[in-house]
Amino acid sequence: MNDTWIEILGAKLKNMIPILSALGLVLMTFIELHFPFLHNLRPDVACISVYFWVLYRLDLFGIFSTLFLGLVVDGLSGAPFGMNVFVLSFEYVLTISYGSYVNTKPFLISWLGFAAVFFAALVFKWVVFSVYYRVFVSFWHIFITYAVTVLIYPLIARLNMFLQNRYLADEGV
Amino acid sequence: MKRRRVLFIQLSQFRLFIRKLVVAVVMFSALGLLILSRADSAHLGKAEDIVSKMLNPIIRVLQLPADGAYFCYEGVRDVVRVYYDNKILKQRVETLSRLNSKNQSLRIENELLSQMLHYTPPPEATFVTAKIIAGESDVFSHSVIAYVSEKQNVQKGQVVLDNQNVVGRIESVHGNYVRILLVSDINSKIPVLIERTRGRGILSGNNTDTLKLLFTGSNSDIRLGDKVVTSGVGGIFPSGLTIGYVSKIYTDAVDVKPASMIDMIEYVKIVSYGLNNTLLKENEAR
Repeated sequence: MNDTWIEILGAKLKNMIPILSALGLVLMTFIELHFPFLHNLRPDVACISVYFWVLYRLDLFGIFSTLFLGLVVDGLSGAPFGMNVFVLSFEYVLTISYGSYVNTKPFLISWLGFAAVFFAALVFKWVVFSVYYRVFVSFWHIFITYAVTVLIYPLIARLNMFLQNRYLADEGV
Repeated sequence: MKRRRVLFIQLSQFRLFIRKLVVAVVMFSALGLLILSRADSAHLGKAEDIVSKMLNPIIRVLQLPADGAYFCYEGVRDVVRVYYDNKILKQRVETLSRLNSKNQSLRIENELLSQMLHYTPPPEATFVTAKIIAGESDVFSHSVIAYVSEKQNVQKGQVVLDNQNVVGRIESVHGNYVRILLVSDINSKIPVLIERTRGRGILSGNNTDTLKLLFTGSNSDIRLGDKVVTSGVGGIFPSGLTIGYVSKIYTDAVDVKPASMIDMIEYVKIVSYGLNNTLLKENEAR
């Protein structure tokens, strides 16, 4: 075996880029910005990350990465433990099931694919949340979250694409 | 190429089956966690505690550039406002100086009457100031995380104010970090009264910017702009703390606008009123 331990460590770290980038983005959404117009406007970057990486690098972002990300969001957000794991797993299943229709198509198609998958995931989350608390949350606010997340998708997808092309391209699927 | 078979099933099919099984197990585990958190949140609170302790220091570091940007924004905004504020403040100083002399005489009168009635004043409130380091205000939850020192002995259930208005209460304490459940969160239910009429009700959050005033009674004479204060019922909040003002009146509901700018709070006061939090203790015991 010719690989030194630094090379092995480097390779391992490269494989962790998807989950680390997702974790970094999630942590950044928890930063308190104090700006009034940003209230209730937090994009669901966990959903974006799961969709993107499952679509393009399923080999590096499996169900356990989804589980880990869900637990982190649950732990930080104060949401009932398991809710985000449940929702992100649902999104994972949706992306795997229908991802083949979009992953070789132009970016616009994958964006539309995200809009569809995220809509289903958000409605699913809304239903789970409403059943859990036995109260319906405002659909208007759900729509705002949906719109903000779908609009910010190209930005985060571009960042993820940069990471994919810069560090993971040589291992392509 | 020869295909490998495991018990007459192709290996690739077997792997696919295992993969699907793992996904199903994860989803059922998540559902199990949800049901468990509904039934018994105390044990899962420990898991949340671990996640908070591990990740909150990272958020605190990430917060620094955001704080810098906000500092600049606030600086520019303040310069614009300072001229107008100065005018208003001059008027207020005049009004307050008149009120101050009146208050002096009332205070002396109050002390004399208290002595005559053998009145025992409630314990003095103590407070610690905490900085908000992370926020989770989306459609599904309204809470923030604040940094406090472990030595300051902040406890679950303590009242959180911005400067003088109620912002929320301590939901959980994780070492140096506390989670504050905001009054706008769907889980927040506070016994209140309308200051003008003394009519009681329950102020409930609904994960939006306005609060709902419930159980007010059909004959209650509520008007727009009425001040809503804590009633003190339940023992968690002392009476008389301002929460908000009536902003809309419907036939079957009343909207209340929080008095504090919940989305712009940077520092909060965590206040201990030394109350016997009966309901809180009962809930914890349960």
